[in-house]
Amino acid sequence: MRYLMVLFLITPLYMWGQLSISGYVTAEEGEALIAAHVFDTLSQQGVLSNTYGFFHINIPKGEKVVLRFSFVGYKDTIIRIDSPGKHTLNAVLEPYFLQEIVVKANAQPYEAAKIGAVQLPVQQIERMPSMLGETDVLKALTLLPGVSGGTEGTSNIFVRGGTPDQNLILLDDAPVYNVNHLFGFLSLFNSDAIKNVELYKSSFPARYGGRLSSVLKISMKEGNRERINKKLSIGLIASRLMLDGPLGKSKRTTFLCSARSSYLDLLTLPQRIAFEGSGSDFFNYSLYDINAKISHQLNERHRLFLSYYGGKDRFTQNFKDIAGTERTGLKWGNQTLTLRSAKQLGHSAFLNTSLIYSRYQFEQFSEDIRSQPDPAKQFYSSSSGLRSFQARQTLEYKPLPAHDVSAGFEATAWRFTPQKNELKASNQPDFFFKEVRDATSLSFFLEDDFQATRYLGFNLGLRWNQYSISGSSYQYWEPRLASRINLPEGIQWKTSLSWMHQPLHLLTNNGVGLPNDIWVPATANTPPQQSRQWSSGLFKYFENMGLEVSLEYYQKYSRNLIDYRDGSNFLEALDQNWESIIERQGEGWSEGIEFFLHKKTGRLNGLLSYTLSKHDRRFEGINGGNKYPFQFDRRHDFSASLNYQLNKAWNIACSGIFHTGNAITLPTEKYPVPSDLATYSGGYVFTYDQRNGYRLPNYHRADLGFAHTKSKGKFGSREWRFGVYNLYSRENTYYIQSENVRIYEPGTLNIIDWDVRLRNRYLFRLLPYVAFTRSW
Amino acid sequence: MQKHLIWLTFCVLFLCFGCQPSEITLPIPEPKLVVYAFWQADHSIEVRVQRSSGPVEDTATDAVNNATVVVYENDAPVDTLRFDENGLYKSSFKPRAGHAYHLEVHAIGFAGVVSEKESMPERPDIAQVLTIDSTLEQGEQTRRLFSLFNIVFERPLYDTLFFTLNARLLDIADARALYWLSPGFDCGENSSYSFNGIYGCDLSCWPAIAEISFETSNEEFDTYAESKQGITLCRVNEAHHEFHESIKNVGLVDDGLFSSPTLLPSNIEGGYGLLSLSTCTYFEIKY
Repeated sequence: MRYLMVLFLITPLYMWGQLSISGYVTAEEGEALIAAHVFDTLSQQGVLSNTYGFFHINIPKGEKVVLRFSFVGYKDTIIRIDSPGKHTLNAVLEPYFLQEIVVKANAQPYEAAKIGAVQLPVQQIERMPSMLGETDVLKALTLLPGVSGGTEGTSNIFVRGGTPDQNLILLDDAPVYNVNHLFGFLSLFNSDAIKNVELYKSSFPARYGGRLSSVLKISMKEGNRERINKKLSIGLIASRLMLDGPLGKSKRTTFLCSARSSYLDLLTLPQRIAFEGSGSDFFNYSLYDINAKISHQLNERHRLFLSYYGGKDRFTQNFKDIAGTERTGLKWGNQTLTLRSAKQLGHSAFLNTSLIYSRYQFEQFSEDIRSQPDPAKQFYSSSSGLRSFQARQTLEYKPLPAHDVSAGFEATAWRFTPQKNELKASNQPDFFFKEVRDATSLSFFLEDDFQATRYLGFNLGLRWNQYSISGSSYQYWEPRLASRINLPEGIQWKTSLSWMHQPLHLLTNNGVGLPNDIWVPATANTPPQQSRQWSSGLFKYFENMGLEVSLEYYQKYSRNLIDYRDGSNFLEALDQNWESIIERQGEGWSEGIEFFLHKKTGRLNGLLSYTLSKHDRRFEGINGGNKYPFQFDRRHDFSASLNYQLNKAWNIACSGIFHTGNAITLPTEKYPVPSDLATYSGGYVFTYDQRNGYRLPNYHRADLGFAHTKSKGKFGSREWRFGVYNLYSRENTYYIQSENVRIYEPGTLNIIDWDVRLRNRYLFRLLPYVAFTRSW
Repeated sequence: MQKHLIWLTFCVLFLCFGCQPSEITLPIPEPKLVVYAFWQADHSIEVRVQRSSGPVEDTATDAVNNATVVVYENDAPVDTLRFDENGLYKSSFKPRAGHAYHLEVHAIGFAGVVSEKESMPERPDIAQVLTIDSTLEQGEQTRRLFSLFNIVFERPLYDTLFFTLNARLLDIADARALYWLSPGFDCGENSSYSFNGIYGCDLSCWPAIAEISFETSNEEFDTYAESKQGITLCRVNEAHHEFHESIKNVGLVDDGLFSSPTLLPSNIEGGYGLLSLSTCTYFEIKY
């Protein structure tokens, strides 16, 4: 803080005789453009707009500037200022129309200016072919180097060998604790409502903390200031409706509301009606989510935002027989609420204050109503969840031309409910058990992004955290160091070093996207996870092609990881104290080289990535205390996605993925145990050479998609999207099953023996999709 | 031309990758000898010899009948066991407390195995067993409710201490086993298991033990007046304790091939199984 105060004091002296410009970069409809590039072509200096579109640029000893504002999908806007002093200006960028698509030149890309972050334009994500036609931000991110998906079709992401809980996923600043809809086949992020997606895999700015592997910042749209927009999308499993526009005549308030719902429950409606009558069994699935946001401009310098997300999934199975009915099911959901104030202080400072609430809960339940032989009723429910309340304030300040300083604090209170079990039965007393753990965290951070010379820049940060729970407390410092060196030929060499801590742990199965995520706090016995990561890479932007190329190496070491103890699994966690079934003090090693080629603009755009990596784990009580491969350790991971605008109406997109098969544990031998000890083990036990010692077959797949757009007319704009997921019908392994196979006497149908075979089970072969969107 | 190229690429990819065999084969390992020997001091001995198999092979639990099983006492061979019709190798040799034993097993078609050298524990001689109990009048009968067993040894026990305890009601026809005993003390990281009515505990973190207490936590312990309790307390070797402590985890998640991997410790080098040594004392409590 002392450093910050000194900067504040010297600023007025330094400001004398310089050109200082601040303002906002917005799209025509009033939407703030995040990370728009503001570049003075005379002094060759540039800055990026922040989350609210705000920018501030200082030109020392400058008398005039020629500012170029650029943003992907928008025309460059050039504004000239000829007098020194302070200036305020708002730049409004025009979007490209199709016939005007050209390769942009001279616009230094976002990644080149900001260390560590990767941005994937939502427009590009929407064009990618997708499973069942549902655009999915998280699945699109798995095309980036260093980011892997889990098992087929699921939405969890694994960044540089980390687990899904190690990703700080922020939706308008609110942490999201579970990203899965429909057992993971859909993520909860509705692309209609999303404006910007930004991912940090390393070089974490000091303002972010609490997770080890990545920061994924997703910003919701604010709503059109000029007119009401409506958008209706109909897909194979869900439909979406979005409305946005101004509220009132002053146009100072805008709103956005986007709702999504599946109609799987409609498909099972006939069975449900039959079940109410004399039918037997049926299952039902429903999901919905709502994104809503209101933004209000109090004055030119102060805006308020209120964002809400609410979503729920519910799966039930219903059985009926002569004795009664039985209903079992799962339900889970998230809710987030964020109130933010974005205020410009003076000419060069920006204050962002947020109050955040986030909640995740899942429940499995069963209800048994018997009429025979004796009437009886039983209800059982087992649930888990957590809630967090957070207050955060960040001050962004540009005291000197070469410095961008941010400082602030973050206070969080969590209420964990790892277990809540309830049993009500007509013939016994009610049973109720609930474990609640409260924890708090307080963090202060300071970071400075400064350009020391024309060739050398740094982003230095420090974060201090205090985490407390039930009498035990942890304090830790997290230094963040990053540098960028401009080499000849426009090549940038970026290096970073980060220390991270995570006071939350997740008990989960990393396979299918079941919602049984049990978030648990770090305790006196289970300390916070820690990691140390360094990365270094070369980055080059080819201006004439609009092409970014990067090659990066990283190493990460993590410790205090947890995992289930041998012989335990997530299904048992609800019946036991979670701390009694876990292994602590786990270590993780990740290392990899990432190659990335990204073209964001032009008629032909897309990306290509390749990662060569190795991820290991070690726990004292697992695998004999020896290192073993992480489940999603993939030596080779290759992705490509291309999108080509054939003409005004037609767009064609294809993507291809190849990666090494996931690591699994299979026994190498079995042997008998004495019969009096074999009560539970079936007469024999398995032996294992190594945890995760086997590999599933390599995974590869190609997808193809087409989009036909009819521009605005009497019925607004209409778009048909259709395509094929898994184009060449590859049977990618989803899980392995053992099967008993009959062995016949040759030439007869007499069974002479049985054999056990292992079979690949796949989820999808060729899977076509179609979706329709109308905007008006 | 471009159109044709796309279709050609599609067809090539489909042919190359679209129809692949969906079966996974696991390598079949060389079979190893599996040896189980549960020996008690001053009792004749027997050894079961079996073989391991591949994880998806038909389960092979038959005894290996062509093995040579040699028992060593203090590194000197003392007997070669004979195979009998029950599938066991037997001997009239009786191991003694305080001596070290190991065995060697060879069979045609298998690599030979040798057990680690294990010591037969000293006998835990019991001076007396005290119980804390109360009575409850139930009609014409008086129920005796037990809450604690306190076993006092004749002399303190030293060195590594692993126990098993089995207590039974002797005058009830089905001789119900008594589960859910818990030791009256622990010393941190000790472990325990309860298996087929036998309670096992690890008190090795105690340098010496003069007495041992077991709390009861089950109504099965309650009995009627003038009943008899039979208590068998054994000192076992560490390998016995670790084997039983681990096998309870194997049973918890038995999903066959896809069980959560649990390794059973073994003191049979080159193979699998267990050489278990125990010295037991039986004590009867009469009321």
